[in-house]
Formats: sequence, C-alpha cells, structure tokens
Amino acid sequence: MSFLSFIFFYILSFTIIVCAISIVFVPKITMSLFFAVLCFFSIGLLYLLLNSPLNSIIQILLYSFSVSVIFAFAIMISLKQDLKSQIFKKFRLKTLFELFLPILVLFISLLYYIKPFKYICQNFMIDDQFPILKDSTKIIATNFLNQSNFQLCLLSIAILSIIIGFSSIFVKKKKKNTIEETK
Amino acid sequence: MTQILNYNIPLYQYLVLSLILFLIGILGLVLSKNFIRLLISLELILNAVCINFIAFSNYLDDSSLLGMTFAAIIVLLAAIEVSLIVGLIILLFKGNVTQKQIFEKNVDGEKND
Repeated sequence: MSFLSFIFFYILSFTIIVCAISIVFVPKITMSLFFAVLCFFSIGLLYLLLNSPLNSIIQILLYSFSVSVIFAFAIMISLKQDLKSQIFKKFRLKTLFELFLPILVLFISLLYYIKPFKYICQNFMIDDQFPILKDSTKIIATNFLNQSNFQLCLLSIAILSIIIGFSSIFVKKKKKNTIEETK
Repeated sequence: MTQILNYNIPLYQYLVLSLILFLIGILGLVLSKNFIRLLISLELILNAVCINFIAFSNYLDDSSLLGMTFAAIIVLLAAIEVSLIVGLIILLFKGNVTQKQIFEKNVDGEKND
C-alpha cells in the first residue's frame, strides 16, 4: 500500500505545483481563480495522506468552495463586466456535443475496459461490503454492469454525440459559405 | 482510508513541496499587479505553512494534535481575512474606483481621477 500512497503523493504534489505556477503566470484572472480552486482542493486531498481528515474537510469546504466563491464575487465586481454572459457565450450546446461528451464517453469506456476498474465495479456490486445496498438494486446493478447493456449504452451515446457534433460543424461550414457567397 | 495510506513518504518531501509552494507565493506577491491575484498568492503562502504544520505534527508527535489545530485556526483566519478584504474591495468599487487606480495610488501616493 505504500506504493499507492507514493503515487497519490506525487500526483497531488505535481498538480499543486503546476496550479500554483499557473495562478501567478496565467494572464486571465478568472483562469487563475480556477487554478487556485484546483490547487486548494489538491492540498485538501494531500492532508488525507497526513492522517488529518478534519483538516482536509475544512480545507476543501472553506478554501476550495467558500473562499473561491468570494474571490469570484470580487472578480465579477472589479471587472465590471457581465461574467455570466461571457461564460455562456463561449460555452454553447454545440461545443458540448463536439468536444466534451465524446471525450468523456470515450474516457469512461476506456476506464471500463481496463481490468482493475472492472474488478472494482464487480466487487462493489456483488460482495457484501456495502450492506446499505438492497438486493433489488444489487441485482439491477450487476445485470447492468455484467451484461453488455452498459457497453451498448456507452457506444450509442458516443456515436450519437459524434454524429451531432459533426453535423453541427457541417452546418457551421455551410453557413459560412453562404455568408461568403452573399458578400 | 487514512490507516491504509500510512506514512511511508519521508518528511523532507513534504517540506520540499511546502517550500516550493511558499516560494511561488512570494513570487506571486512580488510580481502580481492584480489585487485579487495578490490575495490568492497570500493564500498559497498560508497553505504552505499549513502543510508544514500538519506534516510535523504527523511525523514528530503522534499523540498531540497541536499542529493540526494550528492549521485549522490558520485556515479559518485566512477565510475571515479574505472575506474582510473582499468587503473592502466592494466598498472601494462602490465609489467608482477602478483596480488600476488602486494600484497606481499605492505606487505613486497620489490620487488619480
């Protein structure tokens, strides 16, 4: 288990240092706030390795949630811009289908096909480690995981998202072409 | 969870991490012109101190929780400090003072219209 703690420590320390550097050097203040939240959260996880769960809870709740909200509030006031509209202009539904959903689904499917993850899933559902789960939910979950339903679901979501993403890109190109023709 | 992840990691690695974090915080304090980024870098320094406290209390003295309580108090104080400073910022911005003007005031010691 020491190997596991080593891996955790190095991953967390790497994220902390990278985020801390990016807080100082990223030009946009909103991005630096995002990195600060990530940094504080990973420091909170690091406290778990040091046998202090109370401190980690305080860190995560206070720093990475409440203080970050206060910072965001201050940024929104100081910039004097409509931050909400700025975010929503960039984040459209098309981008969700083009980028985020296919990548997320592919990542989940990759995780599923890796053996340790599959082993953890099956153990989580089959063994009596969690007595809170009722039998009916256990049966449904085991069926969902063991049979090919889960894989088919993932595949269908991936295909759908890819189709919608490509179609949206095609529509964008068409619109651009029509605008150029009219000009 | 905490029993599984027992301390096989040596102490000096935590100290090196906290030192790097502390230096980055100081760098941020020196370099940053933005007031909010300055505050975040101050928080980084406080976090580095907290890591030191908890690491020492965990490795050197198992029985007492002095370092952990100190770290908790530091976190709480930092949160209060942030809320106070943000309140001050809000008060300043109510009077239509921009961020650039605050910084220029501090540097030049003169009022900007």
